[in-house]
Order: sequence, then structure tokens, then C-alpha cells
Amino acid sequence: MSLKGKKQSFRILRGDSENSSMEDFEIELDEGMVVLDCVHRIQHEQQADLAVRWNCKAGKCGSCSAEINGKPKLMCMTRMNDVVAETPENIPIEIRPMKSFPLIKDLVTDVSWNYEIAQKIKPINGPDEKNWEFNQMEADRVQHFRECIECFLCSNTCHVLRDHDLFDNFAGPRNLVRLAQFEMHPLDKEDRIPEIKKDFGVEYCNITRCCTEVCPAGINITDDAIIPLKERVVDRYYDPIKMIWRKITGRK
Amino acid sequence: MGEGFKLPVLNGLGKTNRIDNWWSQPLIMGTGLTITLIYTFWRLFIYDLEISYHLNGSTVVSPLFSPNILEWELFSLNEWAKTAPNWINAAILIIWIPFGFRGTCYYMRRVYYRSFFASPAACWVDEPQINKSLGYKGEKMVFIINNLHRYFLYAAIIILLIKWWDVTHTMHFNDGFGISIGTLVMGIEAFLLSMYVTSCHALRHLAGGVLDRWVSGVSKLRGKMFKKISIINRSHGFWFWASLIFVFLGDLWVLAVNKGYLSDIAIFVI
Amino acid sequence: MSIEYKHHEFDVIVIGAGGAGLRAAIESARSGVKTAIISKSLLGKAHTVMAVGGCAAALQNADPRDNWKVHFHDTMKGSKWLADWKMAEFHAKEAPERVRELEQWGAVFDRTNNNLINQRNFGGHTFPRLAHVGDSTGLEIIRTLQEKGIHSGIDIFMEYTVTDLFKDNEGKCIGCIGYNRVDGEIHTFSAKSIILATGGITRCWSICSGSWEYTGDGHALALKAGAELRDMEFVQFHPTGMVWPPSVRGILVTEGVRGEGGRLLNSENDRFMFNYVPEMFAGDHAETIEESNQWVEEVVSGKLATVRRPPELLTRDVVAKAINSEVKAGRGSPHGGAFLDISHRGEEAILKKLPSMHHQFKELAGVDISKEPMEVGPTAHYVMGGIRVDAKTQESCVSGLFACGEVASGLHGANRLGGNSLSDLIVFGKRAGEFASKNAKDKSQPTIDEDEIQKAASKILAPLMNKEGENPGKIYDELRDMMQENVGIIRTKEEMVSALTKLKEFDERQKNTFSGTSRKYNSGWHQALDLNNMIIVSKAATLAALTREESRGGHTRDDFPTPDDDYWGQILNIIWMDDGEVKIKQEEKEEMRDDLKDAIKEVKAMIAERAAEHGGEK
Repeated sequence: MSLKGKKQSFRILRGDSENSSMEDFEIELDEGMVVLDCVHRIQHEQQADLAVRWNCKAGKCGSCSAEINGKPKLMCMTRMNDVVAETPENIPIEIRPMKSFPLIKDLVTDVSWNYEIAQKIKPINGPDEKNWEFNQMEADRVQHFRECIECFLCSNTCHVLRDHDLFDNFAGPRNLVRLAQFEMHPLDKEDRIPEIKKDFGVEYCNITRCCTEVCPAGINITDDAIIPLKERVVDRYYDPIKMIWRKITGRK
Repeated sequence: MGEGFKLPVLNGLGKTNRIDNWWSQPLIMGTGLTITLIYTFWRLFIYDLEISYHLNGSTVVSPLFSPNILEWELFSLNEWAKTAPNWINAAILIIWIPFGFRGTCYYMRRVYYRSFFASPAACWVDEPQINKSLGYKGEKMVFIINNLHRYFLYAAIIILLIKWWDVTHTMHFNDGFGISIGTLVMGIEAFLLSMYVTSCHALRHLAGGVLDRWVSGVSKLRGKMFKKISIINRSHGFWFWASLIFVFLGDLWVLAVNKGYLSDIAIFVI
Repeated sequence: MSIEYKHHEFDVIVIGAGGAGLRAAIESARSGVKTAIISKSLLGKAHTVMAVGGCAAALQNADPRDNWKVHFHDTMKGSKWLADWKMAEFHAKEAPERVRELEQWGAVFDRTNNNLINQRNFGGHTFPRLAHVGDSTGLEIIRTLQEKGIHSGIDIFMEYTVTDLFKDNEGKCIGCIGYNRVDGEIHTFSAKSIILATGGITRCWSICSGSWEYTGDGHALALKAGAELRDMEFVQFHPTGMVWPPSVRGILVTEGVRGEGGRLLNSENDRFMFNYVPEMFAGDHAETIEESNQWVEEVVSGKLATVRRPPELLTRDVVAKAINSEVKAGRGSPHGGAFLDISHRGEEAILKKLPSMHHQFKELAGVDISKEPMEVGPTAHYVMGGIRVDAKTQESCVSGLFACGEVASGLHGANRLGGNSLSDLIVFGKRAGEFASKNAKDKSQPTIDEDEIQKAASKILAPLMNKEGENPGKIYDELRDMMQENVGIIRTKEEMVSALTKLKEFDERQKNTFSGTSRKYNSGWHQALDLNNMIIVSKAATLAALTREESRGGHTRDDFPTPDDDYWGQILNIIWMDDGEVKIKQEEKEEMRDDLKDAIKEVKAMIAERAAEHGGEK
């Protein structure tokens, strides 16, 4: 289906923390556009000061997160064909900034909380010798986590943060993925399990899997990162046999 | 954080900017689970007759009542059954195992938190006010029991082995060894349950996920097991529903044969 | 009335938070000086994430025949012998150490069967040399450096743009001024050393693989501060960018696709690269389809290659021009590119080795690359030119001003080899950090003259003072179209002369833009300020291209289609700025040291021997 020449209306959130409202815009579409192209067109043709964060426009940097028709997505990877198809005729396509983070202006939000948590996570601690040896099977598990592009759509989606505001108790899916990536690194020697339970609050996750559904990098956040971390917390704190075994052997 | 102005999330159950039918999935799954719960209650406590049938010397037991431990000679269970109260049946005695295993299952948790607790009902849909005023605790408090999933797994593996043993009972006919429709029913049910159990997150963890290194020998083998389980783990939800539905289809089959609506036949005998 | 601003004091300021900037900051902080990073975007979003193929380093894991001499030879040859041989030597010798260091900081590269870092083949590299992570190596490197950086005690200023550098009376660089993109407040930074790591200029072309950040800020800052640029005519057009649909035109398709066995085909289903092997590379590449298929088979199964590589893996300039010629000859794909086919490798291998390419085409173009070919065409990708720096210290001719990464120049000469950019970042990022912090030690904190601050601050606010004017986005789009048309992949004198005239017009137009008066996250205001830099670097690139009357590497003249080794092969174009005017002069390149000449001879003999072996099979 070619959208070339179609007039399409948009309803975009404009404004900042003091004053914001939804404003309507109309532009003419071209073939093969993504939502970000439309926002740029509005910016270049109508509203030069429309604020939008973006960089690579190829789904690799994770800057242009926004909520399109109520669903958080990367604007650069959302094709207009799909959005037009899901939006009923005569209703504008709605674009809002991410709702879980404080609004700066228009489609830009303050995501600094994610960076603050990242700083609290203990960095990798491996052998001092260079030329580390581990095999591809071991690498695979960790590489999967490292595909994260830090768009923070998962943290925006997670109801623990979105609905319950537990920013002080819970690290959010993105940073749990980061913790998993260090914890499961074949040569890392650091123990982060106590913090994962206490400070990063893995138990707040009730595995409703919205983070996995929303991840544009296709990371199986729930199955591969959070649940294995939960299982490791069970090993340490809830499994009586393992606890007795550790007492007997004196091993961690 | 918490400072700074955030866009209001629309407050109240079901409030959202989504324009699609986000409610359909939690509704269907919630309805499905409710029906199975009611049916199970009816079968266990109200109508626990016609739980198995015999075909030419073979025994076919309803998946809901298999293993029928009250017919076992082990620990004289069959003797005890005669003196036990009337309402006791095999399913009542063992249902806590599949119930506990499914109830603490990482996939099932998603379903019931969404469908029954609306926590959240669907992604980007607001939760009811009561969830917020109660204070969200995640998987702490009562839900801490979910951490025992691996112990239910151990029990479920035992049940599963007996279920396969029960399948063999459907294959001993008076005039030889063979297969009936009942074998297929119980066999498929056992197979689906096997897939459900082996795709379990806890099993995946215990098999290999617990290790950071899969270097050589045993640890490499465990790494390979982790990878294999990971593949079927992706469809854990499918195996959950498929095995669940087949338990009830199997029970209905046994019921129907007993009632004479349908009849079983031996497909071949050697 | 004076303009208000906030002031900060550091020992070392790094401008830019891509791979080079982060690596420099880590090194600087490690030596104990107070370091800050100023970044236009959020941390970890820099353009380094788009580098996909890998990081070249002669680790000798995948092929023990590799060593620094071969890497040095490949880099020099790829540069058409214009690279700074001192930089190429440091680069080839230090890259392996830097890559192993990344691994200790948490980077998880793909492994060989011996549990070491795996390496893949790439255009222009004699042996498999690129340490990689599927096809997201850049992401891996920036994330690793980011995670190392946040635990190194570096202050990070995210979403700040620097607009001017300050110098003291002795001509030393002492600080910079910029604005916070979020709230529009003005900030000044005094520092003993400043490292520019701002990346490239490719946003000046409309078909480019760069993000909005690539407006040549560092190039312009350096010129304005009195530093020199070199090699600005050499812009690498990556042969494989997406061509369809229009909105994604230019987005990069990694060279890794060809490294994994991808075949370039024209509309007649002909592997045309066999017809485009230049004399310089004759004998290095497979001459039959059978030979190149055998090479792919061997390499894919992890064996040492016994035959020569497919011609698809020629250097980027050659492949880009070949695709261009095929399209001009009417043998292009439906949307004006060539076909790149990797489907013969099968879905499983493609998902493992090229997952993000698979995703990119599936999502953006609706093409499943495991089943159908991609359509690709050249896209402005990288500028070889940049700030002229000392090979050892990365210091420019302005004391206290350092540069590393794409904004610096010297390593790549007339053409960059794929994979050499990521290693460039970590090798010279480290060097810049090391020497910038040395320079900063035992110095007192400089003070910046208040008048100069006010002058620079009023320049920042100028676009907001306009009451009406053009939308800066419109000028921006037109400028890029103009550069694409007149200073694109094939250049002529007439077009470039007219480009220079038009650039003067753009210079006037950019003074009268209007994007509202709010300072708060005003994208139009930011764009108006970036335009200034884009025009300066466009002038620099056009002037250098107009002056170099030959075709070499990333610079192709329709009116001078061949290389002129006798004159231009020995000459560097140096750009500097005098009273706001961009000027150019020529300098002879430095004679290579004798032991390096011997190293080159040694490698050449080895390659000739290999070619002779296969010559017999024909």
C-alpha cells in the first residue's frame, strides 16, 4: 500500500512541565515513511521548535522512544503503513512522550534516572591477565543482553515504575538486564546477588512480561534476564536444601 | 526520582491511550482459567465417578485422576481407600502437585497477575485504584511462595513419570500388546505435560543456568542442556495451555466413553 | 546587559562521548586529573553505535600469518599511500593491546574455537582481522567504554553543545563555551587541555549514514581556534547504504555482509565486481566465481583461506564507484542501486552473524535478507580528513588542543579501511587522553576573559533574537541537497565552483532563521547553530576537492579521472582559517622511515607469493 500523497493528521503533545496540551498537525505522506520522518516533516515545515530526541534513525541508538497510539515504540522503526492501518479513519495518530519519566518538552523526557541506577551497579571484575578464554556458548548468553540499545522503553512500560512509582526500590528492566549481563559473564568474580534482591528489588517484578513485549532489540528480558536472576536469588535466600548445602560445604 | 513533572498516567482500571483491543487477551485467558477451575471443582468434589474405563483388559484413566493412587498396592493404599471417607479420591490427594506447579509457574504468574489481579491487565493500561492504595509489593508477602517453584517441579517430575507408567497400562490387552484411542489420549497428554515440564524456567536454571561457566565435561553438558531447554522454553506458554486443555479433553473423553456416547477401540494389537 | 552563564573548572575537557571521547576521558581520569565529557546526545547514543562490522587489530587469533606489519601495509595501501605513516605504525602496533583491554572491561567479542576473540574478513585487510560481535560491534564498544567510564570518576555533561573554544594570549587553548540543549542555559568550562572527539561531517550530504550530530562541530571549532585540517577532500562513500524506501536512504548496510560472503549483482544478475578490479589490486583477489566461493566456504568453516578473496571485498572507494558506474550504465536495481545477496548463507547463519541487518531490512524495507537480495547504493559515510595532529600526542598545532577519532586525521589518508575506525578510536583516544592529561599536570587553572565569553554567548543567542526568518530545517535540507549534487561521489570543477558560490549564499541565509524565542529544548535553534558549522566544513571539503586535480581514494574527479602519483600522490591539502575565511595550502608528505619501507616490501613479497601460487590454478 503506498501512502504517497495521503494527508494524515497527527495529534502530538506540545509543551513542558508547566503547560502542556495535545496539538493537531497535518502533513502529506510519502512512501515508506516512519513516524520519525513525519515528526521531522512537521518540525521542518511547521514547528521549528518541536522537541524530539533522535540520533541514528536505524533502531540502533535508542533515542527516539515515544508512545504512538498509546503504545511505546521507537519512532524510527515504526512504519507509517502499520500505524495508518491500525488507526481508524478520521482519527489523528497520537504521539506522546514516554509517560514514566519526567517531561522536559514535547516528546523529550528526562531519562537520567536510568543512568543513576547504572552507576550503582558494580562493574565487571575479572582476571588481571589479558587474553581471556571462554567459548562461544558462554559468550552467547551474555551477548544477548548486550544487544540492549538503552531506549528505556522497558522501564517506561514496567508497571512497577509506571503505575507504582517505585523508582527508589526497583532498578527497572534495563538495569536488571545489565545486572544479568555481569552476573552471567563467564569470568566475572563479583557477587551482586544481595544487591539484586535488596537494592535493585528484583522481587518487585511480577513477570507480567510487558518489558519483553516492548523491547525493540528483541531481548527476552523476562525469560533470559529477570527470571534467571530471580532463580539465583532463590538459590541464595529461599531454597533450604541449597542453604544447608552451602553451610556444609562452606561454598557460596 | 519522583521529582519533576510527569505526564499523568490515566488513573483507574482499564484507562489507557491504547486504541486496540487490549482487553481481549486477559479476558480470554481469565475466562479459560475460570472454566477449568470450576470444572475441576465439579469433578473432584461433586462428581468423581466414571474416572476410568477398561477395554479388553487394559485400563484407561482420566488424566485428571491419573495417577490413580487409590488403586495402588503400594503402602496398601488400595486397602486404605476402602475405609477412607467417601469424598476422598485420587485427584484430591495429588492435585496440590500440578496445582502448585502450575500456580507457581513463571508463565502462569503472568496470566493470573494480568487476568485476576489486573496488575496490570495489559501493558500500558492503568491498574485499579485498589492496587495502588494497598501498596504494591511485587512477589513478596503471599507471593513469596512462588519461590518454591523448583520443589513443585521435583514433585511434578515424579507425577509425570507415573503418568507415562499409566500410559503403558492402556497397552496391555488380554490378547496382547497394542494401542487404543485411550492410549493416544493418555499418551498425548503425557507428552504435552512432558514438554511443559521440560520447558520450565526453574528446570532450565537447575540444568545449566545456575553456572557461569560451561567449560568442558559435565559443565559443558549442562550448558548444552541449558541451550536445548532455552529453545523449548520460548514456547513455555504454549505447552502450558496445550497440556492444560488436554487434561480436560482427556477427562471428557473418559466421561463420554463411560456414558456410552463414544466408544474406544483397539487400533492394533500384536 | 551581560548574559548570565554557569562556570565549571576541569583539568581536561573531552568534547564528544563516542568511542574516542570516552576512551580519551577514561585514560585522562585514570592518570588522576579532573576530567569531564561534554556530549551533544545522551551517553551511549553516539554514532559509534552505527559501526557494525568490527574493530581491526592484528590479534593473530583467526590467522597466525597476520602481524602488525601486514596491518600497517594494508592501512597504507588502502590510504593510497597518503596516510601519516607514523600514525599507521602506532595504530597497527597498539590496536591488539587496546582490544584485549576492552575485553577486560567487559566487552564480549565473538569467540574462536580456541576460546579467543574471533576475527572476520573485511575489505582491504589481507587476513581476517576484525574483532566483532555479530554485526553490532560499535554498540558493544561504546557500551563497554560507557560502563568503564561511569566508574572512572568522569563528570558527564549530557546534551550540551560546545560552540566556541577560548585561547589565552600565548595562543594556548584554555576553555570552551556551550549551551545546555535541555534548558538553553549557557555554560563555560575552563580547562588545561581540551580534546575534540566530535566525529564527522557527513550530515552535510543528503544521502548519508550519519546522525544529526555529524555536523562537523569539531572541525569548525578547531578551524575557528586556529588549528589546521588536512585531507578534507577525502570523503568516504560507503558502497552499501540502503536505497529504498526513500526515508531510510543512506542507512548503512555493514560491509560484514560482504565479509560473510555477500555477492554484488546488477540487474542482469552478473557479479560485476570481477570487472572492476583496479590495477593496484590486480592479483590480490579471486578471478573466478569458483575461487571466491571456495574462499567463502573456507572462511565460514573457520579454516585458513588458501585461495584469494572475492572482489566484493575490494576497498570501499572501488566498490562504491563500481556500483555508481553500473547504475549509470543502466544496469542498476529498480531504485537506483545494486543487489547485494547473502541469502545463499541460509537463515540460521544470517540470524547469527548479521542479526541487526536482518532486523533492519525486515522492519524498514520489508525485505527478508535470508530469502531475497538487498538493494544497496553508495552513502556518505566517513570523512578521512580532519584536524591535523601530532601522531604521537594527538595535539593539534594549537597548544592544549587535542583531537582523536573521526575528527582527527592522518591515519586513513585518501581512503579508510573498514574496521580501522573502531581501532582508531581506542588507539588514538587513549593517546589523546594520555598526553592531554600530561599537558594538564602542574598547570594552574586558566581564567577566560569575560569580554570573550560575552561575545561568544551573544553568538549563541543570536538566532533567538530574530523576530522572523526562515525555518532552519529548510536551509539545512537544501544545503544537504546542494552538497550531494555538487560535491558528491563524482566531482567536476564547474559544480564545485558553483557550490562555493552557493555556500556563500547559505552563509547569509543562516543568519536569518526563526525558530521561536524559547531556549528550552528548541530543536530549531540548535539546528540554526549547527548550520554554521556545516557551512564551514562544507566550504573546507569543497575547496580541498576543487584543488586536488586527480582521482584518489575517496576523491573522484570526472575531469581528472586518474591518480597523479608524481605530484598529488606526494601532496597534502592543508586547510586553515584566516579572519573567518577558509584558506588552503599544499604541503609535501613526509618521507617514510626506512625500516617501515622494508616492512612494506616484506609484506608485498608475501602477497605476491600468494598470488603466484594461485596464478597457476587459472
